[in-house]
Amino acid sequence: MKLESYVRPAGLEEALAVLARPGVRPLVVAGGTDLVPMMRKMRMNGTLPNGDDPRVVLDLSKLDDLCGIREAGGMLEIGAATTMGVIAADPSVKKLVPVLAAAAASVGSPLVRNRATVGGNLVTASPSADTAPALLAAGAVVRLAGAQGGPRELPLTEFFVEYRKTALQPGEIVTHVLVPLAGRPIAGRFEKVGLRNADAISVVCAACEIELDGSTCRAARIGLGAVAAVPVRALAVEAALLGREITDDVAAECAGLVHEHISPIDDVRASARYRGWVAEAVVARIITDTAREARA
Amino acid sequence: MSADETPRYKVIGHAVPRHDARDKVFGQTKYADDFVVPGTLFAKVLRSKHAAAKIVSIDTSRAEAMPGVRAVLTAGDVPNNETTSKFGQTHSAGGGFEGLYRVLADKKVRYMGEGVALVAAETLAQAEEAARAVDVVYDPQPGVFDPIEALKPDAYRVGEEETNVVCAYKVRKGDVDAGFAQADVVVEGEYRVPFGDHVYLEPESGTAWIGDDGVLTIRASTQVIEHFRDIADIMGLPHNRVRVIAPMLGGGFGGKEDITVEAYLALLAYRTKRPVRLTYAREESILAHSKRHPYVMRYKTGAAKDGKLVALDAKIISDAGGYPFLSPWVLLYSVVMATGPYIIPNVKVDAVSALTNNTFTSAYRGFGAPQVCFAYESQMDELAEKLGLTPLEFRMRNYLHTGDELGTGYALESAVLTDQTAERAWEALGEPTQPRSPDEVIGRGIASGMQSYGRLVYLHDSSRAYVGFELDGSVVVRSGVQDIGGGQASSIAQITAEILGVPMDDITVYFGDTALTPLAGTTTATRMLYMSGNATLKAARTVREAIVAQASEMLEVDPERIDLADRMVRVEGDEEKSLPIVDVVKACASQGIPISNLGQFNAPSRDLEKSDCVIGQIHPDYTFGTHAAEVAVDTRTGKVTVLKLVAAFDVGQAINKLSAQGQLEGGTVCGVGYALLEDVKMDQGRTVTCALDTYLVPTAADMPDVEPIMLESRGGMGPFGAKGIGEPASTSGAPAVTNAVADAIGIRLTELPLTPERILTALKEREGSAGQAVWERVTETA
Amino acid sequence: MQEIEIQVNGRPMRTTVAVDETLVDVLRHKLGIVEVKNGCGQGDCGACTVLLDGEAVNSCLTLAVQADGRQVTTTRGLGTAEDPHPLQTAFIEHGAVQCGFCSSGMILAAASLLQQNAAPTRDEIREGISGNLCRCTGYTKIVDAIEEAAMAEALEERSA
Repeated sequence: MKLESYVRPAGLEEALAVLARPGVRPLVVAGGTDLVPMMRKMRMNGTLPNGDDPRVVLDLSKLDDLCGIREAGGMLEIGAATTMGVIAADPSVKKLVPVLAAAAASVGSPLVRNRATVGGNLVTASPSADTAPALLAAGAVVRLAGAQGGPRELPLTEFFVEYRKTALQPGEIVTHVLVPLAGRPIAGRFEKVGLRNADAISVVCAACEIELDGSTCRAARIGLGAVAAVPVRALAVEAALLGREITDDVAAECAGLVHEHISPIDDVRASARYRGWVAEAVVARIITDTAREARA
Repeated sequence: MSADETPRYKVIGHAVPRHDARDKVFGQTKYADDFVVPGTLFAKVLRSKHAAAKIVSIDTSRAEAMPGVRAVLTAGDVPNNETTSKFGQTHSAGGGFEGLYRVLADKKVRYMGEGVALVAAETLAQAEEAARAVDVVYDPQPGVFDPIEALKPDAYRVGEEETNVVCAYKVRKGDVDAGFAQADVVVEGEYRVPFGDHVYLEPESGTAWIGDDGVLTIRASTQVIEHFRDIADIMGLPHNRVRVIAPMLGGGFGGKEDITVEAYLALLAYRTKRPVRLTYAREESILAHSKRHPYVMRYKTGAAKDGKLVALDAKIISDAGGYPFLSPWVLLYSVVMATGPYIIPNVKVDAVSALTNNTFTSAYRGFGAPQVCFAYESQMDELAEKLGLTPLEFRMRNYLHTGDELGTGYALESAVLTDQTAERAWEALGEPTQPRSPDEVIGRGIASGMQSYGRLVYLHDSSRAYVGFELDGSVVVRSGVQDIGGGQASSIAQITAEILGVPMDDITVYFGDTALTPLAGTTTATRMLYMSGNATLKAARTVREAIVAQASEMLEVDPERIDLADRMVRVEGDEEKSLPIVDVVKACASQGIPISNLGQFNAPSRDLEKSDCVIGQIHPDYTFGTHAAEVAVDTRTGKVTVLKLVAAFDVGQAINKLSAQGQLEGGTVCGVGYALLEDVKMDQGRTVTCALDTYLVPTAADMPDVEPIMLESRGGMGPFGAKGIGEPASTSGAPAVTNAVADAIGIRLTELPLTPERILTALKEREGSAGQAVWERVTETA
Repeated sequence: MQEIEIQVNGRPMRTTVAVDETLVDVLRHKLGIVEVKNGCGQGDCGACTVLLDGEAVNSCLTLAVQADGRQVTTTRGLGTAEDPHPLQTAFIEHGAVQCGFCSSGMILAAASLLQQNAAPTRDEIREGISGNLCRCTGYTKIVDAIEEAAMAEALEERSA
């Protein structure tokens, strides 16, 4: 890999033009917190894992269009290059999508959070990306842009295609993450289980948002990370909760269905069996705690 | 007796900011990799990709032809590729305390990461590329990766000897069979502890060059500048033509106790006649340097119903990895301290260390004591439970005191305050924390430990320091002390300040240079304060005597009435009569009276006897203390949160109060990491956890405050009655936490670390639901 | 290769870098800024912490090209022996420095924390330095020092 040039555009048009150049597949970077360690490993071993041979580094971190959080068109619009630190501290996010604030605050360390971006977290498509379960629980949508045609939007549930692979087409980037504002604030919980309290890759992470009608469940969204090839929604658990009063027992019972959606693996951090136990326990716990909050 | 009382010395015992702290905080300190020499070449080590393999051939021709490459070396290029190393000692003790040091692998490799070739090039990138271009043909061998397997007669032979046994020791006292027969309760257990990495923040690093004087000079992050002798032997040079300098180190913890970069640098600098720098990447450091010994320990202890211990039987199997290094020393420590700080009339210990094709194991803070402490402190809690006594009560009935004998028969001579440390530690936990949710259980635990300070007496240890006045009244101390962050250099300045009556700021310490500073010995074995502190004390006192004698003449008073303080000579009972010390210094200098002195301190020594058993005094002295911990366990995930930590130790006499507390606090967290997080996982000799995102150490967010409690018996053998504290502070931290976890969940785990998975699995197995997918939520009781 | 200019502690410094060179390597090896340490190279230890336009970041995770035209502050830019920052004074006086290898980065992370939160609790301090490993001190005296510095009057003067 011989990187020859570096481009840091100030505007989206310029960035898309670089992406559109024929024969060029640039290495896209924003915060660098996933990419730079990957580059280090490649330098130690020799090549890129998927046979790419990029010559250009395209830095999106200063694109004004991609930084910042605002309300627009009934959505909370978060620029893809917005850092975890900014998201975790943002008053709108904390008030309207607290699961996302909690997830962003759990990424890495304060140093990492000053650089890591939500777009990067999603695009790397690691199964253990911490913001993914929270955004899935929040019903998020991603906006993609490329040189061809206009921007398109995709529910986050359709964005993760397979292990470390997203729905991005060649020449496309994520520009924004959008969370629907209707009905907010909505009760929710995020929980990350790691082997230590900071700078830890999730062993299991989960988030939920639950809406009640009186005392019965009207809507539930549960996102899970680190327990399947991609971040997933626990649809069977959600369906089982609908129309029911969520007691501790009901939560535990429905959480038992989580196993339909997960296929955890053995790795250096934990075994598949442990992940299965904890996924169920954490889902039960966040449902119970959220229901309690929603009733109050 | 506690360190909270008003200090009785002018400087000793005070909370003095260290002089090196200033430079470090203002970014002035130059560590090994910060030292820039013009024209430096960059080195890279090519390391074996196999844990066990024969080397069929090495072809360096491609690498040598690459751009910027100035040298490519293999074993054949080393003047003496193998030496019998004394590991920095001066005395030939025999008996396995010396061992093979091989610079580069030649006929076979014995662990993954063993150095096979060296490259020096104009840039690091060129050196890395050239290292990749060295063509090594390996013939992989089956290898052996478990010491128990390695001990079997048909096991793969790791080295060149007939067996994989590195060493074996035994301790026999009384009659354990009779002891167990008398016991009313007996507990047995098998305890396993893993490989550990030191994770000093500063990776191994150094630069070497040939000085203008033709002397081969190596400036490296090392705990042992005395390796200059081995390096000279390797190079075929006289000892007085090799110079090693140790700058301030960014941590050592025993991982920089063996030769790391020095020999490689010497070879490349000598070959290229240019300065050469070598700094390990973190992954390389974890892969290639020594690890903490994993042990399998089978313990059986028995006690009578009055709570007194009657017998202990311990079997220890240690994994020495690919090369012995300090494995015999570490195992000897374990065997001496296998009984803990307890009176046990009948003792049987059998210990063996075996070579495997795992990464070699050597010194790591605690040096064999933390491993056995985990085992014996687990046993003590189990005995207490069976007897219906609290952990504290049971221990109080069994602690050693001055005059009592260890398992080896040695009667303790210095102060032993373990019982007081235990009471203070337990008391300091205060009111129990209440569970913060229905998923949480809380537990508390204590653990007491003993840890030697000072070298094995077989090694005839000694240390030297030079103290002298300059003509303007400022003071110079020269000593080969290696400062690894514990304030080793600052302590000897503080001792000098106390004796000579000058402020710390008036003292410059020159340290860590084999050419220019009298050799102090290694910064290991918690020996620096004891050895170089005593040497400095001797030298400073000799200088003081000369000053006092001269002052007594000048002032015409008895020397007994003279004190030195605040740069002045003062006379007791007569405020009028005083003199600036500098006037006395000048007077001495004019008359040819020495105002400097080279002091040497020799530790108690013995010769190694040919004996089956380890008997008698093995170490100069021991430090005793107790850790206490309170933890919360999340019963749904198995995750442990440490809520409270206390470290209560008899430090003898704290020299620098802040430094001593710092050792207690840091040592405690080292123990907590051992208990809960740290595990170098190896798979058939391949290091799986090779970076800091998989080998986990505690962050600030994982730890509570540590409360340090220092008792001061003034009964140690160091200066002013000090005891060594660096390693003792880390020995009992882990079992305090594991005992607390056992208290919380009612299950005792016997393998470190206590990961959330291991804890949850134990909880599930007890529920009988380990195989099921359903977990019953523990409901809140009203 | 790319030519870049970085303001290091207020001083403009120019050098040529490869696109994939990290900021820590360029600072240490091309610009002689050796008070920034390299402990792991992949963002897990915090020894390489610098302030980038006032925010504490891992300089080993930042490409040097990404620092072009920006301000980098190291511990020497925070304070000197003649004019120390309250954090530096507090670290010295509380015994929060042992081997010192983490100290440069730790102090900068603490400075960044105190900019955002002038009166942190001890738990907030621990969270704020959770990206900076220390193997010597066990963190207690570091937290003491940061707590004290937060209270120091001089801090108010500096941010005024």
